[in-house]
Amino acid sequence: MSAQRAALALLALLASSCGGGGGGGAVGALGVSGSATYEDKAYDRKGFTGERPRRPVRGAVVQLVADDDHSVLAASSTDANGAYALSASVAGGRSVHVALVASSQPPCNVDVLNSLSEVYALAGPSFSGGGVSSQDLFAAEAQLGGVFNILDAASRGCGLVLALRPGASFPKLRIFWQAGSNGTFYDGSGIRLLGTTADPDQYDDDIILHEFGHYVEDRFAFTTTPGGDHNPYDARPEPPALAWSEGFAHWWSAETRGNAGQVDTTATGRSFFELEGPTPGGVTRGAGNEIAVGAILWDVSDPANEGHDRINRKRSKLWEVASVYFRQERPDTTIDTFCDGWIALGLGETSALGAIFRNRDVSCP
Amino acid sequence: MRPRAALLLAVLPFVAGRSEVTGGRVLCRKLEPPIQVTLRALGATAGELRVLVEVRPEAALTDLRMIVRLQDAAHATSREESRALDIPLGQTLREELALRDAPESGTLLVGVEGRQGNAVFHRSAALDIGTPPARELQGTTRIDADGRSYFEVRMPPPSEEPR
Repeated sequence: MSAQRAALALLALLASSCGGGGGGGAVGALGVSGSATYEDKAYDRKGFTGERPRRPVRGAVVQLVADDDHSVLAASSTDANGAYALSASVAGGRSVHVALVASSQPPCNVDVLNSLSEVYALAGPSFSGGGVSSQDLFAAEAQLGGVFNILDAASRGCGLVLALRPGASFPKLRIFWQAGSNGTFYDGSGIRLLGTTADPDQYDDDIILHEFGHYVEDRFAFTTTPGGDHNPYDARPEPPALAWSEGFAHWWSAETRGNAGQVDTTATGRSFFELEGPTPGGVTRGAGNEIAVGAILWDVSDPANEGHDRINRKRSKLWEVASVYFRQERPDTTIDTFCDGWIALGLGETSALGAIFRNRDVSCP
Repeated sequence: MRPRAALLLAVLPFVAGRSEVTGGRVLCRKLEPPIQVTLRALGATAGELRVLVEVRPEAALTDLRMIVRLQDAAHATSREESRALDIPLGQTLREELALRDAPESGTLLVGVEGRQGNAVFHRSAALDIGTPPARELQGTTRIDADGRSYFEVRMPPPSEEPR
């Protein structure tokens, strides 16, 4: 059913029941429908391409809000195409507006907030009167385009969780971002994303999904990572539990996007490395290198496409180790104990898994 | 144009976000490129802005390159120059830049890029010039019946949309 037809159907029901509503005028049925889109910024391994496609805001809360007392008269959500429909009984002459809220409906349970823990919302123009009207909402970059890109990236992350665990229930994820906000990281309370002039992250899907991977690891799997700073670009190994956690998050981002490249744009350029290969070569070896860990996981989940990689798309087995073995056995979480879990669960193809590990100078078993 | 004397340091790129953490342990910081770049304003005289740039590679990098971009907020213009750098690993380059025709209000961006094989690393630093351009979103706070707070940004009328 189209959003417009849904609004008309609801409107007919409301007109027959004639509910309450604020204001002093005669109460009438009001319906509004339309589409919700945001301005994206396309990028590739060379950085932003200059393309700014409009994308649908999917699965976001939409409210019909009274301008006088801010009461929410009706609430719904956008569909996969960004379409929405709202209807309510409203007193004649009462001014209302549609609010597109940066909050996803269950099962994905994400809010995007400012530093005061206020959920972002895009407010459409106010209007009054009954009947059915149409209102398209568009979040340009200068308004909340980046906020709705964050929400969209999180929705993609939720989609991968649901593919791996159908029917999953999501603990609330709060993602904080605003212009000037400093630091990109995940802690137990949520995700923080950079909003600085030098390095804004609201359009860096790869980074957003990396942090989402830490949320998944924390809430759906298990980790013993010490956290903190990390540097995979020299021969010094990171603590293996830190390398596992970061490598898992790199893999999560790549798997969600279906792309082994990892891009981080900045004001004057971008950083780029890749899990397939991986790059940078030479240093990405051993259980203490997060890119090596991410590369091993990528080889497990991608097609059998290299001489050392004869495992064909086994992300469900990878997930079983992370979300079942790690969660039940609670070992020190490293790429070595990932190998232990694979064998303990009897997931097979151990010879092929060993070849992938050896390619990164890690032994298994 | 005369750059205003008041220069505000907008961003030190390696300042961590720890101060924003109110609870919970930090599981992950973003993976940062192995290059440090800092900017410091030294002064401004008629039409010239002087800044100190410090660059320190933290890994063996090739093809080091510095990009300097000066953005004029009032005229919505920018100009950019780039050049190669040669900094051995473990050493810090300190260089004073004298920027002519600096705007009264705008942003100086300095980026440094390097490579390690096919991997590319890029770090940017920014310095506000004069009155910093307004970056905060304009909006109002709304609280619903459940006590939930929203920061509402009003969509501009169609004629004011940027496209």
